[in-house]
Amino acid sequence: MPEPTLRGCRILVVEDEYMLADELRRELNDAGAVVLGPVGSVETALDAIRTEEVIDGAIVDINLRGEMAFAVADALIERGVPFAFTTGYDESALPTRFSQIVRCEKPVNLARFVQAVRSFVHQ
Amino acid sequence: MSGHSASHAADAALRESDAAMSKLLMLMPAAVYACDTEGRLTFFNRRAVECWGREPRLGDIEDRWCGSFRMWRPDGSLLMHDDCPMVDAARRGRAVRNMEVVLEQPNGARILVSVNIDPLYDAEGQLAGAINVFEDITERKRGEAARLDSEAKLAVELEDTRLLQRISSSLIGQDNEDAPYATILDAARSLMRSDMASIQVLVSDRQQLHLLAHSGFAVESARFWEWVRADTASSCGRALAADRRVLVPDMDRFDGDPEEVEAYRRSGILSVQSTPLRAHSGEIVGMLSTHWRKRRTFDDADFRLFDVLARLVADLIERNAADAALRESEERFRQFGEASQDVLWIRDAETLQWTYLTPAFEDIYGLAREEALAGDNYRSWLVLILPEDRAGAMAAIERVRQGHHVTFDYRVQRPADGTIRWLRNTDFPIADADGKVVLVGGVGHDLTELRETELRLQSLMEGIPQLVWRAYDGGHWTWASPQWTDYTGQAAADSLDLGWLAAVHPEDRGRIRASWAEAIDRGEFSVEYRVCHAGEGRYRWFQTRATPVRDAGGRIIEWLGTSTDINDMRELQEHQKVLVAELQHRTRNLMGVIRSTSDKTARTSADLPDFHARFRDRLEALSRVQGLLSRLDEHDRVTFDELIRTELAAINGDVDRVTLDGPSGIRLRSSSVQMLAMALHELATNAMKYGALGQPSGHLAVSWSLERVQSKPWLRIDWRESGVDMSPSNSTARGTGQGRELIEQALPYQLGAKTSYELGPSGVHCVVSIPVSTTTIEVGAYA
Repeated sequence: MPEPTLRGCRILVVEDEYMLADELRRELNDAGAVVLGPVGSVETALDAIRTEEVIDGAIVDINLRGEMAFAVADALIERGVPFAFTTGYDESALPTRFSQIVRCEKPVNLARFVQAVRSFVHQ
Repeated sequence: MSGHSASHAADAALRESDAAMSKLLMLMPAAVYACDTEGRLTFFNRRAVECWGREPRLGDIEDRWCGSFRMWRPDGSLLMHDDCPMVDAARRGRAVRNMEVVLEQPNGARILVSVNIDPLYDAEGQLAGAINVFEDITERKRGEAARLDSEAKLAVELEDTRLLQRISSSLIGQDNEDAPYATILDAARSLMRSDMASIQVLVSDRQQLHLLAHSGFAVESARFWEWVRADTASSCGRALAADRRVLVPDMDRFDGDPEEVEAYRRSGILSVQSTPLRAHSGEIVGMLSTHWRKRRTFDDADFRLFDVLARLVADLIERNAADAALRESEERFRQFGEASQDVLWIRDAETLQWTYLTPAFEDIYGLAREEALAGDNYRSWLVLILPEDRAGAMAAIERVRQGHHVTFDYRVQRPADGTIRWLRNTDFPIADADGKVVLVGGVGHDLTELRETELRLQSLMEGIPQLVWRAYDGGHWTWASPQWTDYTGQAAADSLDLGWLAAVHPEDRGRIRASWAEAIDRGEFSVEYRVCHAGEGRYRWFQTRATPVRDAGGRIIEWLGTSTDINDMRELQEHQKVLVAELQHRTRNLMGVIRSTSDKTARTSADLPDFHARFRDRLEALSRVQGLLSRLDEHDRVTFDELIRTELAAINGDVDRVTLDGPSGIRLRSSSVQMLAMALHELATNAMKYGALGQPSGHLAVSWSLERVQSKPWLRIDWRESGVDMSPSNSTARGTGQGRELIEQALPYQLGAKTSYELGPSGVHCVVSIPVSTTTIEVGAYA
């Protein structure tokens, strides 16, 4: 069990696979974070980004029910929210404008994942 | 007049006459003297005194018969005064005519005189003495000797000149390689009065003299001098090195090396001369040497005629060399002609008749040369040419007659088998010194195979599925295959130069230009671009490659290019890329699901065996659904009835207690299958362990139907268990709630499903509604 180093941080989880979303949620909770969502589609993710008052960070699965989550990433960048991608794809599948975004390859190594979230949330 | 006085008068006259005669004799230019029978001088004149070089006294007994100091016969013997012819004349009346006698004067000088002596008679007819009239013929005789000598020399020179003339005409008449060396050597010996002679030719590429012939050498000497280099000490070697005539008057003073000296000694040579033979250019072409068995001195005059001979021999050698070169050249030309697979011919420019025709004619024309050459062979040649090509061939020959080089193609029909041959002739004029075209040369090349190959190649190029073209550097097309025209609908002429770019996608034109820019350096052109298909009205991808055709010097003459339609392949590749990415995505997601499942299972397991059993059970359920999915073709879908039957069969439930009711063939979204299968698996497992399938009185009814919600198809699944003991002791056992979580949370979250889950009095009742496939095609809908 990692240190609750994300205490109070509001993290949006965008992941369409229930099992994985549930796991992330649990993991982030354990780290002390407040999980927003999880949401499983581009549409619900965009809703959340629009309506949530405070988002400290986000974790975004690139493929949401067959749809690429680039619109979600763009919205997060626009709002200034730091985030990481989780993906089963290799890097070449990403548009170059996201080349600076942290990528966590699935299956996500949870300890490293929290580390990554912490690093970009606190930067 | 009385007798006495008459006699007196006669005496007086006689005395007068004698006195006049004496005076006359005294003054005449010839020498005269007389003596009596005793030899006493009775008279001599002044001229006689001059000849004698002394003046004797008349009547002196010491000077009998002659007034000279001493006399010699022409043969050099002494002539005593008492033996001289005056004695015979005065005593015996014997006259002497033109006898030559040498008179020695007291000072030793000698003169030659011609003597005429007559006896003198007195009045009674008795011998009274002799008279000698003599003349100094010394000068005359000397001149005569000189004349005789000169006549002899002239005769010799005349003979020598005649010899030269003979040699000259015989050399000029020579046209074979066996030059009359023996004749030349004889002439050389004769002109130089030498004992031996040799002739050598300069073999210029070896810079050595080669002995062509000799006369009089010892065998060993001849062998020794077979080849002579310029640095050898022999006279000919020195003459070659010094580039002038070399004279060796005395072999004893010759400073050659011992071998050289020995070679001369063997042949008994004591003097030698070597004279270079020069071509008209002045270069030495050979050497003519003569040798003597005695020492001698040389004089320029010795060589006057010899040098003429040398000139003739030099001409002969030069002409022989030129003839040999010409013969060699002619022979080579003949061999070329014989060996050539092309027909070589020469025609008389006037009559156009062949004067030369090579054997290749027979192969190509299928006609023996004798036949071809018979009669008016220009006319019969024209007959062999196909009528439609005949005028062109005649015009071409006419142009050659006017002095042009002409290349022309024509066809002949072989008389032997009637087949047609394509020929290409390159004809050229051959002019005489005045520039008049006297001959027509021709080279006929058989193009038939080339033509056929061209035709085959052309059919190949027009038959392959690629678009083929030819171009200059920079993509300036010179030819486009019919495929291009067919594909693009562009007229062939419009495609030439850069016209073809009109059929290329505008976005790709820049890339094409860039590729051409580096094509020359790279030696190949390779680029992919889109070309508009006239029929479909859309662009398709082509891969275009071109390779340069180079000349012998490596310079690029043109480019040959093909464009291959790779549109389908590109689409396949794109699709494959998507599929690979999808596969990766799904695999990694599945790993995540498995990990999550194991976590969840671990959290709700009593102990490790419990975990093991339940985890394996869930993995098997996941495997089954992967199995169903992987069997599918791209457009296939898993149907719900298939899924439910697979799941129920897997748990080995009692089929009698299960009722399935619903239409078959309802197609599930592939993205839904895994989660739905997991949910059904949890329901079935629970039913097996705690519910309808695990209890004797239990019954499971699964019914499903297709519904429309806002005109979209939904699958409604009703899972109803009945006859199940729902007592509290039993209900705690199902408290893990994995199935319930999946139904109530996972399906709505992941599939947008509407679900309900109830624990009724006689068992679980669960309703799941999920959106299903609207069309048969849902590419890329995995998640």
